[in-house]
Amino acid sequence: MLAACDEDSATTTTSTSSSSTTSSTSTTSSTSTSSSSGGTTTTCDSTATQATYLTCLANNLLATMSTTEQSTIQLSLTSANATSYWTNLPVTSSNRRGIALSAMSTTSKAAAETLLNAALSSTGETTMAQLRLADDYLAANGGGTGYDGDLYHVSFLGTPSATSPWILELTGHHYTFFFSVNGAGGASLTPNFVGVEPVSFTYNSTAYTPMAPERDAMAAVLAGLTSSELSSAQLSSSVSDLVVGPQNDGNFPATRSGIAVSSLTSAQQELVKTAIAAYASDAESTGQYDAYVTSTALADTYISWSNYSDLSTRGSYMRIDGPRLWIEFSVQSGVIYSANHYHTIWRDKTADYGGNFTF
Amino acid sequence: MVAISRSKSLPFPDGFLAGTVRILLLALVLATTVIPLGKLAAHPMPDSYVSINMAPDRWRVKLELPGDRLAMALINIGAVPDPGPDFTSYPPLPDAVIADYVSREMRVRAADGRVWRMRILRIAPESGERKDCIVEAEFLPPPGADPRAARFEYDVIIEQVIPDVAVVSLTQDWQGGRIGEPNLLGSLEGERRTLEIRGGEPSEWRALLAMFRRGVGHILEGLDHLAFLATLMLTVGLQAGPGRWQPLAKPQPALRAALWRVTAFTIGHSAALLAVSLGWLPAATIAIEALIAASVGIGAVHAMRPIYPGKETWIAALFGLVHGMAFATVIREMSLSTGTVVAATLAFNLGIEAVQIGLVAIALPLLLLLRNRPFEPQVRWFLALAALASAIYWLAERLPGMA
Repeated sequence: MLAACDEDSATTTTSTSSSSTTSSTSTTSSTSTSSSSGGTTTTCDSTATQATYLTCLANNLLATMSTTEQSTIQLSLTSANATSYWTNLPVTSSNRRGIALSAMSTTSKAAAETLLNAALSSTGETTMAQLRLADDYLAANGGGTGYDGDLYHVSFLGTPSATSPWILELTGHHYTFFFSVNGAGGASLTPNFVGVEPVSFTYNSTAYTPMAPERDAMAAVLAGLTSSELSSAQLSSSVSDLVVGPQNDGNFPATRSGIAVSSLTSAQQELVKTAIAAYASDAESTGQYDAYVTSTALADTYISWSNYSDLSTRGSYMRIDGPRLWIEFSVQSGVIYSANHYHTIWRDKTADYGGNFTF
Repeated sequence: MVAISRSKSLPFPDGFLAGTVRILLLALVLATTVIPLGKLAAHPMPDSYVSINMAPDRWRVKLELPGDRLAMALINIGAVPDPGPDFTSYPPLPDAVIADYVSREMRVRAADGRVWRMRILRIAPESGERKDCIVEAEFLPPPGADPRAARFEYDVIIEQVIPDVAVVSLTQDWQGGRIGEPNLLGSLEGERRTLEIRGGEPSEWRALLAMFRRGVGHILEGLDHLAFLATLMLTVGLQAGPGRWQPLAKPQPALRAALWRVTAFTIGHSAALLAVSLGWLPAATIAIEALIAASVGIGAVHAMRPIYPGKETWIAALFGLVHGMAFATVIREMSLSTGTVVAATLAFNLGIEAVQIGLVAIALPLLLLLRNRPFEPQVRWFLALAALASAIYWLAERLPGMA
C-alpha cells in the first residue's frame, strides 16, 4: 500500500495528566479496594498462577496512579472497547484509549513496564522493546511527533482479577497486544499486531532489525517449498494488506487456501513450526504455540502467499491459516522512508481477546 | 433594507457604533489571517471512491483509484507486465489499458437485465499521496429503462485485490433534491460487489433550495467577493474632492449610490454566471481568479483616494462580470442539463443576493453614521488597507498558477 497506510498528521496525545511522583503514597488510602493488594504496591509472587501474578502487578500499577488515571486506564470489557481503539496508524487522540507510557509518572511507568514484560516471554520482551525503539528512531529522524517509543497506551479491559476475565492491552503505532486472562478461549496474547518501519536502522550506534526473526522464519517456509508446491500455495487474489487487520476482527476466509502443511516433508513442517514460534513464542505461558503445532492442528493448517514469495519485494504477502492460528505478513511501501516496511498480525480464531467476544 | 430608512434618526448610540465597527474590523482582520490555514489533510486510506452523479437521463460516475492498487489489479490479470521481485516502482499504466479494464469491470444494469451503454470520458492521473488515477465514465440507460434505479456491478480492483474496499456514494441527484451532500450508498469488497441504486423521491423545490443554500455558502466562503463588495460600499457616503474623499452632506445620494452599485454588480455577475453556466462563455480560469483579486485591490485603493469617481457603478458592473464567471464554476462542475442549469443558476444566484442584501443592510447604516465622524478616514483607510493586503495575498497566490 503506497504511502497509504501509516502516515497521518497525527498529533500526539501526550496529555500529561500530571501524575506527580508523590501520587503513589497520596492515593493509597483513597483507592483501597477489597482486593488484597489494592492501593498499595506489594511484591508479587511470580510463581503463583499467571492470573494471580498479573492481577497483582496490575494492582501495583493502579496503586501508583491518581484516581483520575485509574479511571482512564480502566475500561469495561466490551467488544467495542476491545476492537475499536487500536490500529497500525500513528497514535492520535481518537484512535487509542487508556494511558500512554509517556504520560505516566516515573513510578507508574516502571510498574507498567513490569506488568507488560510479565505478559511476554523473553523473546516477546525483545520484540516489544525493539519495535518501540523503531518509533524512537522515527521520531528522531523526521517521522514527527506522532511517533515515540513511549507513545504506547496501556489499558485494562475488565477489572484485573485472579478469577474473572480481563485483558491487558498495549497499543501503539506498530505494536499492539491484548493479553487475556481467564477468558472463555483461554489465555492469549492475541490479537498481536507486529509491524516495523524502517525494517532496519541504527540507533545510538547499535544496529537493529527488529522483525528479522519473524520475517526470516516466515520466508524460510516459502523458500523451502518446491516450485510446484510454491505455485499451489499462491493465492489467486492479489493481497495488498492484512486481511484480518485492525477493525477486521472475525474476517477470516471461510475456507483455507494454499498448500496443506500436512502435505509437506517433516523438514518443511519444522520450518512452519519455527515460523509459528516466531510469533506465538512471544507470549508468556499462554499455551497457544502448543495448540497450533499438534498433529491434528497442523493437519488442518495451510500456507499461502500472494504477489511475491520473497517477503522483501513490495506486495509480498504470506499467511499461515490453521483451525485456531492466523498469521499474516505483508510487505508494503514505506511511509516515512521509501524502503518497504512490514505489517504483520498474529491472531487466534478461538482466543482473540480471550474468546470473550464473537465476531 | 428596512434599516436604511431608519438611519436618518440615528438609532444607535455612539458606543454601539464603535463596538460594531470594532467587530467588523476584527472580522476583516480574522478573515485575512485565517485564509492561509488550509484544510487539515485527512489520512490517506487505500480505498477506492466511486461517486455517482444521477442526471435525469444518464449517470456520470467518477472513480478515484489508488494508483498502486490499480497496478496490483492490472498485474494480477496480466494486463500490465509483472515488474518481478525486487522492483522499485510499478510499471506505467497506459490509459488504454485502464479504460479497457474499467469498461470490463464496471456495469450498470437495468431491472430487466439489459446493460446500460458506457462511455469512458476521462482518465487522468492525480498527483496526490495516493497517486490516484481518476476515471470518469458516463452510463446511458437502454430505451424504456428507469434512469433512476439500476443495479451497479463493480469489480474494479476489489475483485483482484483483497482486502480492498470501494466506497460508493451518490454525490448528486438533481431530481431527488440531492446536491453537494454525498449520500453514502455502501462499501463494496470481497464477494459483495453489487449495489442496487435508486434515486431519491423526485422533488424539484428541494434541489432549488439546496442550490440557494449553495449560493449562500459560496459567497460566505468567497472572501474575495465579500471584500470587493465591501470596497464598493466604503465610499457610498462620500464624494470625491481634489485627490481626496469628502463626506456627502445628505444621506439620500448615498443610498442611491449604494443601490446602483449593488445592482450593477448583481447584473454583471448574474449575466456572467448564466452565460458561463450555459457554456456561452468559457469557465473561469486562474486568470479570472487573479483578476478578481486585482478587483479587490483596485477597489481598496479607490476607497483610500478616488481614482474613478462617479464611475463606480460601471466598475461594479464590469467586475461583476468577472466575479460571476467564478461563481459559475460551481454550476459547471455539476454537469446539469441545459433546462436544469437555468433553474439551478437562478436559485444559486438568489442565495448570493440574499447574502449581499444582508451585508449591505448591515454595512450601509454604519457607513452612513460613520460619514461625518472625524475618525471616518482612519476607519476607511484601515478597512481599505486590510482589503488591499488580502488582495495582494490572493494575487501572490494566484499569479504563479497562471504561468
